[in-house]
Amino acid sequence: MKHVLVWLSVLYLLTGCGFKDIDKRYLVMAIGVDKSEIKEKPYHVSLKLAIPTSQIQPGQSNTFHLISDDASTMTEAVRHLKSKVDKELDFSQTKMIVFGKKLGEERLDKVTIDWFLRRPEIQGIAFMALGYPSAEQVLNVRPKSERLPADSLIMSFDQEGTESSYIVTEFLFDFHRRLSEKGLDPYLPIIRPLKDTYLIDQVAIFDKEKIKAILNPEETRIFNELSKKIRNFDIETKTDKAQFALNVSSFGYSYDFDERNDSAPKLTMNVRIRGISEESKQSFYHSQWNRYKEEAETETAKRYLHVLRKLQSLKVDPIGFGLRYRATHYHGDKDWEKWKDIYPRLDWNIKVNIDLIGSGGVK
Amino acid sequence: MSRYFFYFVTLSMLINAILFVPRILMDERYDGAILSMILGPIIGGIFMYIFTSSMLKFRGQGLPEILKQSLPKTISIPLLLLLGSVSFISGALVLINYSFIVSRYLIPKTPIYIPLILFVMVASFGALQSTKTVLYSTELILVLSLPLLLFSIFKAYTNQNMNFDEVRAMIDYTWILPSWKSLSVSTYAVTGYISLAIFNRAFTGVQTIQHRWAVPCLGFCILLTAFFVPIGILGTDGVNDYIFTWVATADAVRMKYAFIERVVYIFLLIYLGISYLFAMTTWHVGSEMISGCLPGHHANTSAVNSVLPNAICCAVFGIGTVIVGNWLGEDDLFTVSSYWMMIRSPIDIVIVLSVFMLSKWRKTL
Repeated sequence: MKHVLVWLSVLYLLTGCGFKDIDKRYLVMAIGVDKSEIKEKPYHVSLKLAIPTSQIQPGQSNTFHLISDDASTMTEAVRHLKSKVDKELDFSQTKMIVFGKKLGEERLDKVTIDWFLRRPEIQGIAFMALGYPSAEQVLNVRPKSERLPADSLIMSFDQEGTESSYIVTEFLFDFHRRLSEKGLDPYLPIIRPLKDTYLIDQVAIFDKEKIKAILNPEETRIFNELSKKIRNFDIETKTDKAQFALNVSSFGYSYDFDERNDSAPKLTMNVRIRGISEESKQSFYHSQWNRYKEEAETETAKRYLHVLRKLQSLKVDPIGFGLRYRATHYHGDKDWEKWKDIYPRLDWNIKVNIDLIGSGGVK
Repeated sequence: MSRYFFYFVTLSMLINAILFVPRILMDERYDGAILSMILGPIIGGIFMYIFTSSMLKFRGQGLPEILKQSLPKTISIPLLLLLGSVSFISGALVLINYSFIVSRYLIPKTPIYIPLILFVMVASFGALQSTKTVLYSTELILVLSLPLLLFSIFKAYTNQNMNFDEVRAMIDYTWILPSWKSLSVSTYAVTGYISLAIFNRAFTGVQTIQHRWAVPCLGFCILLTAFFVPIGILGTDGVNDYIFTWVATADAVRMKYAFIERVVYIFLLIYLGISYLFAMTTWHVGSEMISGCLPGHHANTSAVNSVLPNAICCAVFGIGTVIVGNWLGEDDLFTVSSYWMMIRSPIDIVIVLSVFMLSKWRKTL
């Protein structure tokens, strides 16, 4: 009897919780934030809400409800959006945060992402991206193969479904870290809606405040290789002497700073690539295998150099050379001052070493 | 039996290193926090050596018995009351801190006193058990939760978003003299050995505790992990924006193919067990200290007059915890905790030195 009374008193405590059943919740799958036209209400917030279905079928069960509203803050927008729906908004499944391009061009910094960081139910590992032309249009796409709303976006960035070398992944916590880290600048992948699908093949490079430049797909790929050390990319060589493509199986690089000559600081980078030929105009066997290799090496080095020079001229550093400089030099804050002086006039010395391990199925 | 010593020492390291240390040391990360993490375990380790070897000389006796034998009542009773409350407060702070995290991340719409009341009830129930039961349950819960914790820490170290350049950039700031605050916080992480003041009653057959050198080493590793992993994941400057540093860090780690993608929930679950365990041991120590003041008190019997004083202590401090936890704001919590650690370290030193003196004195008698 004593035990029963104790447990009854415990049960009595449990009644006050704000518990809501799953059928009284609306799961927010993706959040889009755009710059609105109204001056007093700069945020145009769109939420992609999943409508539950009893059966999961590709292209059928990804029904969603897109609601949007203008407001002066994120909080206000969400509060007001709640009056547009009949259920409680639940952000615990939100894995996709899309910002409009216009917002990025104007200002995308800690203040903008503050709401996402403060809300405990928004995951630190949510994916972030930039929507072109607007986030709302990106969220409004309903891909045919999708099983759940916003699933195809999540799959693309996860590198779990497709493994494209053009898709750069960025997490919310990582974007936040890059916003304040000295020598590591933020970037965001760009999503462009096509009719029934998305095209994600560009990346926007930020200084600590707004977009500095948008890299084209070719540069995006190189950027992805350098910043994420991804492996699944290919190298095309197209010169007068040779024309072939390599599929890379392993990739790595290391670099160090050469400051022996104070007036001309140098960064020496060694890139190691192993790959198999995937497509070639000429036969590899019984010919100058080595010469082709060298052709590919100079071509690749040129491409890296192009992207690195571009980033350097924009005075941004999303790959983190500045951070590495701070890590390898031991004078605290002085390192950072020195790096700011060195970076604009840094000279690049890139050595690519390609290991051609085979010619594929044919000679 | 001596392995149980390592359980409660590790327990207090894990709790302090992850709940309090990051927040307080992060604020001073450019002002000597790193050196304090090197000095803290060394200082703590020296006191641990002195305390354990002097305590073990009193075979099977707890601090209340020792003080009663050798000091007049006017000194021993206030001292025991003070030590008991100290132990209670450190457990209560952990419970309050964890309830804040729970009410923020797991049950955002529930007022904080509800999880707090439930925690206090469970912790008090655990604290009322006999000393041996408390020790056995430390082993049980640690064995259950440590592998998962080690796995998630391993995941944090090895995931591709862990940036070791940030860690290396922080090393520039090593040779800066730490403030008293960061030094006492680092030392506090190694103070779990104080619980031996009561647990010594169960250590009857123990001549000496082997491998004591492992304690400062372990403390050093746990402190370094607790400090550098958040920096490597959240950034050298970005880390300063988060309140619950380790919860934010766990939130930034993902396990794609594990049974749950967000590591933060596994982490919160593990810490639920560990904070409960910590509160249980400290409250057990606290209630035994305070009821040790009573004349004719016999510990570890199921008689009413041995359990009742403990129950009253737990009830009083439990109600106090709920009231204080309800009343404290989040910003107060960290000010209170950091002041608490600054006071706590000198108290620990006083206990260690007095026990040391008593053990010397006893020999000459």
